[in-house]
Amino acid sequence: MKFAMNKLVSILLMLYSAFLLSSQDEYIYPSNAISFSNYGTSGLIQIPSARFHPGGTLAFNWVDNEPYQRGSIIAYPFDWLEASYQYTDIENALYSLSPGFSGDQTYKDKSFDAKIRLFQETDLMPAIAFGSRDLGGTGIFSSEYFVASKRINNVDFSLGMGWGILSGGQKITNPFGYISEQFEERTGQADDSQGGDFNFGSFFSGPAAIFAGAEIFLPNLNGSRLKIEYDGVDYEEEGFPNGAEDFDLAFKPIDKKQESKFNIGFVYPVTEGAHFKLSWTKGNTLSFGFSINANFSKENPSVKKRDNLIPISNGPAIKKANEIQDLYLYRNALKYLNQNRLYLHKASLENDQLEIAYQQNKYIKYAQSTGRVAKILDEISPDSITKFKITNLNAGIPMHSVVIDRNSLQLYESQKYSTPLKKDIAVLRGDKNTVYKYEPTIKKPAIFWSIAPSLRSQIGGPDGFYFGDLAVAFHSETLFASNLTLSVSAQAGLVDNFEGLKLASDSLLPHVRTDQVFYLKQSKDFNIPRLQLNYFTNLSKDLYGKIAIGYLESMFGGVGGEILYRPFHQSFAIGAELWRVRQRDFNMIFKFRDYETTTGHINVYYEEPNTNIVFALKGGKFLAQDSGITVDFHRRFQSGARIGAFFSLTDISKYEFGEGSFDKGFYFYIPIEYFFSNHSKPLTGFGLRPIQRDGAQALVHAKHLYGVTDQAQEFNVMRDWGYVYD
Amino acid sequence: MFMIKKTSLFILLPLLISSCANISFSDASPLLKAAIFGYQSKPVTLKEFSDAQYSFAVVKFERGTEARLVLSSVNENGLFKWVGGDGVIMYTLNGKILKTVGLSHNFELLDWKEPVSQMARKNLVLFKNPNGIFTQEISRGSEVFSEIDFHYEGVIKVKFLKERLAIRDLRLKQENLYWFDNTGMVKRSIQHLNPKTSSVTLDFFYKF
Repeated sequence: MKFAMNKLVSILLMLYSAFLLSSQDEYIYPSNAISFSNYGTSGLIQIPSARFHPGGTLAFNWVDNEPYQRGSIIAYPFDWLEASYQYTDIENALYSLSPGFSGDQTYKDKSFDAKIRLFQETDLMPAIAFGSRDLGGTGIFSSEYFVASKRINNVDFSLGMGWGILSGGQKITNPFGYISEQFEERTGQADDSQGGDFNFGSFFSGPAAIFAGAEIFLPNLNGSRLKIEYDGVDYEEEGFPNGAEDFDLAFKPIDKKQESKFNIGFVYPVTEGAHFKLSWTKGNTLSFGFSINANFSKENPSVKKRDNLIPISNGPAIKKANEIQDLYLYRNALKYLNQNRLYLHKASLENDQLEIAYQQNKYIKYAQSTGRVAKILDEISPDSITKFKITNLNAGIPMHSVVIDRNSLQLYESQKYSTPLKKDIAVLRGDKNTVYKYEPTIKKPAIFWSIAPSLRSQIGGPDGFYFGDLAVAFHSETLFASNLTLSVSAQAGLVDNFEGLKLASDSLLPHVRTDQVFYLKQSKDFNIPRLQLNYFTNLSKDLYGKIAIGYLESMFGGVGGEILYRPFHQSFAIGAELWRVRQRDFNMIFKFRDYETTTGHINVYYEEPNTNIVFALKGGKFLAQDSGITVDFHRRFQSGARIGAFFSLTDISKYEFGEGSFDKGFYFYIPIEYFFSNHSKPLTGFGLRPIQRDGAQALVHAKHLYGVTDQAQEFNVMRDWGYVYD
Repeated sequence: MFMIKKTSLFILLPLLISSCANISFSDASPLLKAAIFGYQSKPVTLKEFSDAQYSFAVVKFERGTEARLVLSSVNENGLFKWVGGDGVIMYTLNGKILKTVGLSHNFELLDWKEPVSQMARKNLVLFKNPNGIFTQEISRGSEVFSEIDFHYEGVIKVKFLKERLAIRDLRLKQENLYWFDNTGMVKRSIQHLNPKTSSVTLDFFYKF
């Protein structure tokens, strides 16, 4: 028995020391963050790996690798999906043959890459991924690959098979050729393509080859790595190697031909999320670059939150005073909630239940704001009150109510046990018919305003790489009534470089977006991007309505509205919107142009509860009078960050649409509070289209009902219930 | 006690001005200032010291915000326990930190028995998150007289001592600095804890 015990202790000690040793490695190799290849996706130098950053990561990568300079934005909506947008400057080709048009600017190529993890790494098996480069671009970097990665001690090995441009490694017979002859030859873009098509027909076709490499983590060098690889790129097919023979705009062949199939590189992590890199490729080319990445999914923001509730200095005395008259309780609730930016609109005491309705624009998590309201009410309410009914308003409409048992609230508070508290609450649909005894008079109109810098950019056009203006912007929200608001944005330009902008639209469709150059140039001194009057209403149970009129966005003004059916206990919504709009003058002040149209959509939304992916399908008539659908999907992370993509298909041909063939893009939004020590509800971020055309363009009006009623669904309230004591 | 992740700031800066989300500059400017210059220290005034009921330490990580830890207990071996409002606890032996709790990356000297050692010695040190035990070689320089500008006390005369730390496994060499007052108590110290955190400066205010 004693022997068995000793053996068990020995085994446990061995396991513990093995655990410590593996952890110890993290000090010897302090940075294990996935690094990026010269092609802007996770990988070695020129070849990809099967590595992925965690879901919610956003990254930027830039590399100078003659004859290319490439900037990439990389997003990881999931742990298993990498999506990236590549912007490549090709130094041996011109943007156009007309010097008067594009000067000596070199060719710019835009493309999308994607990679999907098929198998996760285990102790014995490698991670395996499938990916495609230049998925929706011109196809000059087009390739597909399977790659496996396995880390053994401090070396991460990758081995893969590539097609297309990635067939430059050790040639092998294309295994897909055994399935069908169509895989034996690689085809280019379809004849009617304007670039930007997903050319699935050429996938896995043509020659195939093996590539391989290793990333060696160097001990005690701040996480630095050495990369060695057997190159997989076919430089005779990539880009325009033979100059004008390959492409009219290529003015010279690529000078440096491949002299070695082995590449070597060095990565130095300045921080866990910032890498500098240097590599020697093709046996004759020095490349260098950097990457930065950050994960925005977690509840571990850059800055720790420091805005706790403002303490009530003499709570017991106030509680005692509030026993005398209900009015004292209402007024004290108003005072102490307001000082925490939780604005009480109505209150009522019925028997042992205190009901209050409030509005807030501070907390992104509705459970957190509810919890804070409950905490304040608990501190000031007489002991005879046993329940709080807390109703959250938005645009003057009751969105949801949470009834909390006061004893339970107190019972679990010290340990912040939010889960057992769940059993003692009820989450109800907001009831617009509730009558309250106390409604403080709010001075109307109430005006909230701010001044902030604003930057408008046009990147990658033929006139120049970057055009932009810096302006000072005024934003205001005026409340004439709680459901009648005026949103205003106006800005005055400070500095710009729009003089060089001269690209006129070549669109065959009404120029609903492609006259952007005129808008930018003629509005640079002063403009009013938005002046929109909104009226919101709760038409009946789960049915919401909005009417808006004014300058609805920077290019269109008009009148219209939307309705949205959003059942409280479900996670879907269906809506419709209809607008009569007229195109605004290029100076974006008050006048209009001649073009006017009616636009509208039927919108269907569904949020998948387990993955928090929001699908939106919008079908209808767009601004350029084309009809079709937009498919939009994004993932909402615990932090509130969102990463998503969209594409639209309408009844116009690829030729009518122009370059890019169809409208598509991706976007990401990050909660502002991620960067600050105070809680804050708004999000910041941007969307990116490879090219802006006129097809499939919807009106971008403010305060879309789906956003306004976000908290009118139980699912969205309970998602963050864990923060009720935060 | 926190620091801004520089990578996040690289991403924030362009978003600050290109965003339509209307970030207030009153919110942004302290953040940017902190990112560029670090958080500024606020000297302790005589009134603050007098009003304080217990001994306290002002703790500041490089470029991070300042926090105050209050002396919670002293055990029979002279081990001081300092407790912060956000759950951070530091154990010190005449100013030398022997253990931390509540930081993102904690540290503990496993077999420490004496104040800043007179002799060169080896110690086991445990780093947490991730866990790792290493042998740390510690040696000290000789004491020299010096002066520091110490909060409300102004310029005071102190003894200055340098403690050299080395972890061969990590090829890590660092120095802890101590300034002692004329009673032999550490007034100020700059110490290295976990390799994954920056150095920490502690100013001690004793109420005994």
